[in-house]
Amino acid sequence: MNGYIIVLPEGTLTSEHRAKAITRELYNITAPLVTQEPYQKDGTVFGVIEHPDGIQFALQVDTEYNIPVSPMATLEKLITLMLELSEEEIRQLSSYVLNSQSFPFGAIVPSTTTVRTYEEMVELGWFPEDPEL
Amino acid sequence: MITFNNIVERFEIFAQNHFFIKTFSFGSPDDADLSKFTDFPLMHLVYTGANYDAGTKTYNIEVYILDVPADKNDKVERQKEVVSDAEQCAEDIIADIKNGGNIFLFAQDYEVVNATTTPLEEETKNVLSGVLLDLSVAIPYEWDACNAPIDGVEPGGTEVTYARRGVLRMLTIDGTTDVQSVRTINVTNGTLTDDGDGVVTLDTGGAETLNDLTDVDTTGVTNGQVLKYDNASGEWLPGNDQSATSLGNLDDVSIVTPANREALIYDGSEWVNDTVAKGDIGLGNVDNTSDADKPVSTATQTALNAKANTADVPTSLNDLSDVSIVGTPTGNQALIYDATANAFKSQVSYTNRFEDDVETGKQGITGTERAYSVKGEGDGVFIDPESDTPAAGKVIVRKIYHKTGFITDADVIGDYTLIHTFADDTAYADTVATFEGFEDGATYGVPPFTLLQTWEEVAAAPTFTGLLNESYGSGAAAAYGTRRLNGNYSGACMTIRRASDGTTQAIGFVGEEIDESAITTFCTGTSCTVQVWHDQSQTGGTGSGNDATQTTPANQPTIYTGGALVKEGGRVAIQGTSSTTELVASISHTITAQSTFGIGTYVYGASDRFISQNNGGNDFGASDAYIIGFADGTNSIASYINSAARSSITVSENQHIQFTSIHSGSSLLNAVNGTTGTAYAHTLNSTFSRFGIMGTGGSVAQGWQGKFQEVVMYTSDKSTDRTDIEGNISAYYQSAKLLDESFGSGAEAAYSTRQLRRDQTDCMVIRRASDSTTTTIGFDSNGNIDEAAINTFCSGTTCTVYQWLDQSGNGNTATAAAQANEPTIYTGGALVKENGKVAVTFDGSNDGFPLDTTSLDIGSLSSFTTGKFNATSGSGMMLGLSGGGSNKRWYAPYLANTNFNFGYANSGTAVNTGADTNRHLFTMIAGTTLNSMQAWASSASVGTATLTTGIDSTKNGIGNLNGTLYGNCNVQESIFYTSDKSSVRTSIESNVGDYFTQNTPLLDTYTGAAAAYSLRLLDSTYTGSAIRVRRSSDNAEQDINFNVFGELDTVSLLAFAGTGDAFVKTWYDQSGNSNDATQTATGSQPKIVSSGAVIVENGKPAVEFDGTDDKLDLTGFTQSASNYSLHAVTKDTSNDMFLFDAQSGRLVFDGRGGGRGVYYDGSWEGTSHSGTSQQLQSIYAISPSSGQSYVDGSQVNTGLPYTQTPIGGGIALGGNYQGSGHCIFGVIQEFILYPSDESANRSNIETNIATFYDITI
Repeated sequence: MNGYIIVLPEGTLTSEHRAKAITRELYNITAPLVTQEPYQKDGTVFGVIEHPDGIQFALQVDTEYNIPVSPMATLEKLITLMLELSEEEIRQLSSYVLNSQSFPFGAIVPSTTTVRTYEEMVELGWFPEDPEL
Repeated sequence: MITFNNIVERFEIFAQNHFFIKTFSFGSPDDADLSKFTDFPLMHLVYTGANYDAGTKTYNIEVYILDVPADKNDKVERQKEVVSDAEQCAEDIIADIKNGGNIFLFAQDYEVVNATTTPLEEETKNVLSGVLLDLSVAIPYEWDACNAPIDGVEPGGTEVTYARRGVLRMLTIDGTTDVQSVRTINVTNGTLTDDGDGVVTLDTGGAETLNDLTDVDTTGVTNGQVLKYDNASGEWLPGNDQSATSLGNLDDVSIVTPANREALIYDGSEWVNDTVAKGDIGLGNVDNTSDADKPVSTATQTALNAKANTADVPTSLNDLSDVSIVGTPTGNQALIYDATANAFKSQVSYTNRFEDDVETGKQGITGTERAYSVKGEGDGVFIDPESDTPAAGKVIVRKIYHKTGFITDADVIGDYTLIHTFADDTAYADTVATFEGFEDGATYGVPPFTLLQTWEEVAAAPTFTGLLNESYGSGAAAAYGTRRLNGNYSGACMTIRRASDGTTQAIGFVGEEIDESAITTFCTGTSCTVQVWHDQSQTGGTGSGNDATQTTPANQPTIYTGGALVKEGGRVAIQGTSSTTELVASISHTITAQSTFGIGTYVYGASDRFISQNNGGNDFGASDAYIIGFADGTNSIASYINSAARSSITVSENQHIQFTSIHSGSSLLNAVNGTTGTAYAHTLNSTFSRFGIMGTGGSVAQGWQGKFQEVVMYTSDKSTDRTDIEGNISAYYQSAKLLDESFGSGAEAAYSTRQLRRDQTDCMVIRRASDSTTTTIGFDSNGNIDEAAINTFCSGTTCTVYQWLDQSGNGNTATAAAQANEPTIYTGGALVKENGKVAVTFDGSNDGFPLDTTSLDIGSLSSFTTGKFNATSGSGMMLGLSGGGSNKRWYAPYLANTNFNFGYANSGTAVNTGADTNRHLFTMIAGTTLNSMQAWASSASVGTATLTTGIDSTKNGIGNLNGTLYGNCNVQESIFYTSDKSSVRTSIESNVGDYFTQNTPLLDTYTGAAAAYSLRLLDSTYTGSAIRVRRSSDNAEQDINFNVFGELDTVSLLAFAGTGDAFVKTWYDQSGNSNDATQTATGSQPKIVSSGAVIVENGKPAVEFDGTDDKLDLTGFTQSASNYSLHAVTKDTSNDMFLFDAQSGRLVFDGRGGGRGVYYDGSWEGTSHSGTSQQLQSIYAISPSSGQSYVDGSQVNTGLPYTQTPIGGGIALGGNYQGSGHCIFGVIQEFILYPSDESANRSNIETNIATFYDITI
């Protein structure tokens, strides 16, 4: 399923910083930093979109997207970024990393997180231009 | 109304009359006690209440039908009997109520609403057994209770004001009730009679016969009559007309037994039968005079009287009274009027009539040897024959001229018209008849006229026709080449110096070519340079022209080094080696126009001179400097005039360039390989004394360090001859075939469907199936196998290849062992082709050529085979040069178990890769350069194996291996070398790829694209990658290039992707505008490899978009207000998906479907494209109202409005720029966007695209 996750600011992290950090950490699950080539230093899994207010940022996600897992992947940073994860969800995510070669992104979306549709985002004012299209 | 009492009464009567029931009772269930009754069976009725609905009242009744207790010893059997009998009794009740007529009278309108039976069995002692019938009986009810015993209500009071509703049972034949309730029966024109007991009779009151009807009177009707309506009486009456079966039946016809040929004639009141008189039809004056007896008119007779009789008309001239023919006329006689005889008489000869001498002194035009003027009274012939023997090197030319009028002393040859030229050296005696033929026939008009025959001695035509002997190439001021340029030049080509001893030798020609053998003989074991390059522009021997010289050995260009002649394009060249290299000719000339043609290779050295000229100092210092050609930067060559580079043209390093510089006197225009630069307006008036080849010719050292082959200079404007001269030079120097090139030379054997050597004339011998005859097939003018010849020979049948001829020159002809082993080249009415080029197809069963490979050694061997396997399963050889248990394998390759195996030495799978059915160039090279064996598939390395040596010369072949392992494959070319070609592998592969590439890269012809993405090479000058991909397993990325055929290098792609997926991160723009389409978010990248297999559509690789969020961004793409032309190959299975979306200026091109349109420029325009298959889409947004679109070449929209607007901002390929909502669900294989109106080129562009993608348009 294609959709959007609005990323809220948390602590000292703005919405933008947190959104970009999450998608970056998702990328690092497949290609951990210690293995990355120079061209991979900016790799992300999902795009980040900006609200016209310049404050809110959201991840453009595909819950069915399969994230390959590197044997060298670590989760600490991702978990600190995804504060919405419950203990059970953290345990599930750790299990994926330890035991699976890949997992769908939708499997680690926190239960308290809403994946919004394009239409919902339009209603929330994220895409103000050309509603006709 | 039927009351409950009525119900009980009916049941009691039923019980009394039913043979089974002995006792009837009514009351509560407890009343049905065994102790209360003595006669059984018993029917006991219990009333449980009623329901009231509109029109009906339903009584609910329990009917117990019971019998005495069972005998203790046979209790079960007894109860079964009792229940069965009681249930039958219950069903009798139901039937009587339902059907009516016995106890429950039909007229009383009972209706069974519901009925169920429940068996009652003895559970304890002294309990009755039987059946409980739960019954609901409906009766008509209209809230019409009896007058209520209510205070104030008068008994028998007010009559009910509405009719009582009854139950009318309308039964069909099968008893199904059609109408449940009838409120009113309307009887029109009839009566309804109550017959009592609810029975009524309906009398419709209708008539029984037509005559009973008031408006019908059938009185007197007879058989066959119809009814006609009579307006007068207002009745339908019997009538005859409508039933007439013969004319006599009609009212206005009266027929009395007609006779044969009678007609109907109207007598004023009716039609009667009678014979027709001729007067009746206006022919009263007609009689029967025969044609022969008919008279002619007076006018006709008068005209006939004025005609002569046939016998009186003359048939020859001699019949005429004033003509006298003497004897039998002969050729050229004439009629002359004889005044004495007063008649025209025939004369002997028109020629002789005037055969007198021309007046003396009137034949004075130079070279005239015969003159003849014809006067009315006759003048004659002047004859003074010249010699028939030409001087050395000359030929005698005789010509005949004509003019109208007499010859005069003032005549010049220009007054005459040339009417005939005799062949060179025609003897005078042999010209006489021709000359007199013109006299006799008076071909050129009536006298007076004059004929002249001239004589001249001219130089004999050269035995060899070089560039300078062609009319377009004549007039050169200087000409230097490594070929013969002038048939009239008899000197040497050049004088060379060998390094070993400093001696020199003049080198001449062999035919057109420089004497390579002489050079090799002279230079073997050392190197040679050019000391003098002889000018061939003059007639004469060595030194007759402006030779170009270099006396300093170190500054001489090289012609032989490393044991080989310097060559380019298979032709001898000289090589510049340092900045001091140059050859200088002393040519003093003042030029107001100049044309120079040179050819060599471009190697950049800042400002190095290709060709120059000067006065001995530097060649650029003078104000009138004209450096003809110099390296103007790393990728261009230009002329230097007026203190700057002019008419610069882009070239590339090591490119074989034919450079032309033409200064017309007022404008300079350069060209490289036929492509012109920008003209530069300039007035030329320069004087030079030195002409520099590969250098300045002056004091500055700027030697050309590339190769040089020819320069021809004219001090005139050769603009009109430019293409002819360029064509001549190119035909010699730039026509090299693969084996002519130094990198491709030395093949041991070479089989191809194209020409591999210039001198090769035959390609193969084919056999047609219809009559088993064979024919040799050559090549067309473009070096392709002669397809027209094959089509002609094979039309209507099938052709196979009997012999595939070896083009290496070694005579290794591949011959099929038997007809059954011959592969096919023509079948089904068409040539076998692969990617547009002819192929030979091997059936995988028994087709194949054996090869003699005695001289091969797998330790130093290179093979290049172009073809495809037709399946990935099975096994078979495309090229096998050894095998069996010899440990000397050379499988190049061997298809086995879905792999391409490159067998080498002791391993049949020395290296391998996954098989596919794509066309490949399979390369295998082994040798000491690599120190291994290495294999490639379409230029992508497959792997290496340890080097070894030796070969089994008995097991080998094309399409098989020693009569086994027949390959199911199409082969286009197979070349192998007994040497290690690794150092020139890419050059050979590039040559193969260039030829077998299906079509010309689109952007080569149709330039100007703003963005161009494809999985094939679109521009031959594009050197970048096709795509950058990310593999799923570890997010590693790699650029994927094009292979030698200009197609995506799928071998490298799969090697990188492994067994997982690969996604496109960047689709590189081939337009030259660097508008690469990129997606950095891995989750939104389209896919190119799925589970280890390249995604294809119709056999070609395709980029797959997931329809949710996959798209590519064109970051930074902007375009000013323009028209647009979009050509794309797509497959999209969802509606309203965007091929292209621009945020700013909001321009959208829609992929397919939906109701939006084909593009959006503020509003959606046109009808959406439809279809879910692969499509070639062409969409043109042309302002103001010429927008149009096509699918697979068929027009969908035309005349669409469009407003030009600058675009920019977020730009997406394959989706909405915002990232979702309109992402393509399908594939894109090619996308080219022009910021211009290309609709005029649509057909050619679509043909190019459709040819590659195999799309029918």
